[in-house]
Amino acid sequence: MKRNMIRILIVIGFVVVSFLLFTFGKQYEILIDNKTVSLDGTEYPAEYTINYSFDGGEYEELKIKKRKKANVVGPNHFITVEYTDETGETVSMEKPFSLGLSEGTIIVNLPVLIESKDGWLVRE
Amino acid sequence: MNKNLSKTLINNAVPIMFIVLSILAIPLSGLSGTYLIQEMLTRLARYLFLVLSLLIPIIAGMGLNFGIVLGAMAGQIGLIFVTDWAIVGLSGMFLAMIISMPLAVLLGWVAGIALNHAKGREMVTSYILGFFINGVYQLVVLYGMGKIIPISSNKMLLPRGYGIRNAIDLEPMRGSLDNLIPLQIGDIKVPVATFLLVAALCIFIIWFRKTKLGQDMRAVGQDMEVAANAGIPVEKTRVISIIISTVLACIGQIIFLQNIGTMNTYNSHEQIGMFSIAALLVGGASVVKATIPNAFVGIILFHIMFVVSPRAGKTLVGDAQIGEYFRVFISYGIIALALVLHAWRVYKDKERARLIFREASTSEAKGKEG
Repeated sequence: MKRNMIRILIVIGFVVVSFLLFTFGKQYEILIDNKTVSLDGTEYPAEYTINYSFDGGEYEELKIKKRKKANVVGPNHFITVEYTDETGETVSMEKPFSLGLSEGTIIVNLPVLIESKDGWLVRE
Repeated sequence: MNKNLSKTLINNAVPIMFIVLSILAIPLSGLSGTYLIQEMLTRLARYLFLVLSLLIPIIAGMGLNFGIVLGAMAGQIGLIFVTDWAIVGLSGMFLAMIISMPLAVLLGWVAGIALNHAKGREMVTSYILGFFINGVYQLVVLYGMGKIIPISSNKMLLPRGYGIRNAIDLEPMRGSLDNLIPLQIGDIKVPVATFLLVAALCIFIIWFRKTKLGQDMRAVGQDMEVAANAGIPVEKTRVISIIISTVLACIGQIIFLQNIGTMNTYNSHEQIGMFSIAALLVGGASVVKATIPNAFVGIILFHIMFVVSPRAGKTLVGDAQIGEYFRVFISYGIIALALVLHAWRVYKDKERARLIFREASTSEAKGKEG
């Protein structure tokens, strides 16, 4: 009886550890777009060259009408963007996001993000 | 004194030959000491777990377990799944271990049952069993995956839509264990975490030998009939030893591949049994006795030859390929010699025992007559 209990506990332990490893070790491919995009009838034009970074990493520059790819590991992250607006002021903002256990391609629309509107993170 | 010396020389003939060859080849190769130390540390981290997985069946008297390729195949299946699910780094490595362990247990159990039906011929049986399971593995990976077993990543599938490609890139996992605890002494990088894991395995083996099961295995290894009469479940003990070996080999293959960074789906496991066994024999082990130091010494000596022989060959005859040819020729020749020497020693021991028994019987008979 005690032996079986130990065996069951070991199996449960393995399942729990597997789930945690799966969740926190999963790598996601994110496409970062700096292109004009239409969302719910509103157009968000790509106007600035934007620097972005994930989870406090190194900044990457993304020019207008360009797309780049990034890999992140785990479910919870934040993106930091920096750009210089038409008045010459440097604007910086940070957005947290959660990927859950989503499959497929994830797209970050920077023009929507800098307007602080929902829908900047799209799963395809 | 002389008898003892000659016995020691005969018992350690293989490592002595390799040491002599290494002493001759290292200066010819022109490789620096730092480079050689770095190479040996890398190769120790890469192979130790696999070589140590061979020790437990030897304790149980089952000889050199060529069936570790079964564990290696299980490990590779785990790696295929985690790569498909995009689980990277250390998480991917440990998840691959957890996924493949039940498969390794199953394969170890099948191998153990088979070897129980082939007592006395375990080595050749496990060698052939490796080929058989390799066929099943290829069937599953080449035809089952993507068709019956879902694989979502197109990068891993063959263009026809099913079957796994020849090579799988493990770059997101590469060095995840080796570089976990960074330590650099001068120009030499030490894979501390891998060595800690190996140290844990060594402690486990030392502890295991002292347990009831370990003692049972030793008893079974010495004499199965005596062990059975003493109430030890011989067949079950032998099966357990093979299961442990297969599971350890499965973990060892995952450590090996995270170090390499690329998995050759249909070949990576094939040479593992031969290379590990060769390294152990070069370290002075035999079919009936192997220790942890044998594994360390064996890997260093065997792989020094790997590293230096092409360069030594180039210096000597102007062609690296000749050096490599001689390495294969001499290394495996010496291993064959080790096996022959072992068989000859067993035969001589039996002959000597028979002679002593006959002499004792004759003198007893004479005593009665007198």
